Amino acid sequence: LIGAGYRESELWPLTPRQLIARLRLARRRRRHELAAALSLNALAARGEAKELKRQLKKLQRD
Amino acid sequence: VSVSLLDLAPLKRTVRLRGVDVDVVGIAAQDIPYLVGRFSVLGRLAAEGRFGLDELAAAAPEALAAILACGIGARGDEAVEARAKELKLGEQAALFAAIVEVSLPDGPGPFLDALRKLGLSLQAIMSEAVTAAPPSTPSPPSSTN
Repeated sequence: LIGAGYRESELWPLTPRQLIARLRLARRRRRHELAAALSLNALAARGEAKELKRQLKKLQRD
Repeated sequence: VSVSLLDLAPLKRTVRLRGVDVDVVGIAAQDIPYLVGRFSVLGRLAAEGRFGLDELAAAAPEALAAILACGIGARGDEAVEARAKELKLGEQAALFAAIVEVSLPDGPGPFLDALRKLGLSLQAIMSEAVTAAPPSTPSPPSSTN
């Protein structure tokens, strides 16, 4: 959870029920981030400039 | 695995004991090394999966009283522990059930599993807690809040 951005002092007062719920959310978020990274890496590995440019534009959009 | 908003939020239950409403806030993470460091039997019982009220009352009545005190936010308060120890088993059961509901509604299993996945065990916590906080110097409740 500290790796997910929680401060240690925030975690000690929580009950195990609350910690487990946060752990589950942190794991789910990590899996989604890994899936996104895998998808982007696969896209980059294919080396299609047009598609890369389109994806970059999409990611940099405000 | 779905996560309920109720599991993220702090919960409180009220148990009426001898005409008095007692607020149950549950066992916090910081209570665990304190309890296991003070009562080594708790680490043993948890490792054996024997963490019910009956086991605690039989094997470690002082530890049960300390757990009940922690569960109402009075960690290390000797007067509260003494009163908790004097409660009848039915009264202790009502308090214990509320503490479990607020702290570990699915029992200690999921929490112990989460600790194991992190490479931790109650025994490891116990040895660290013994080093960090000698059992003879429990923190008063005011220092925990």
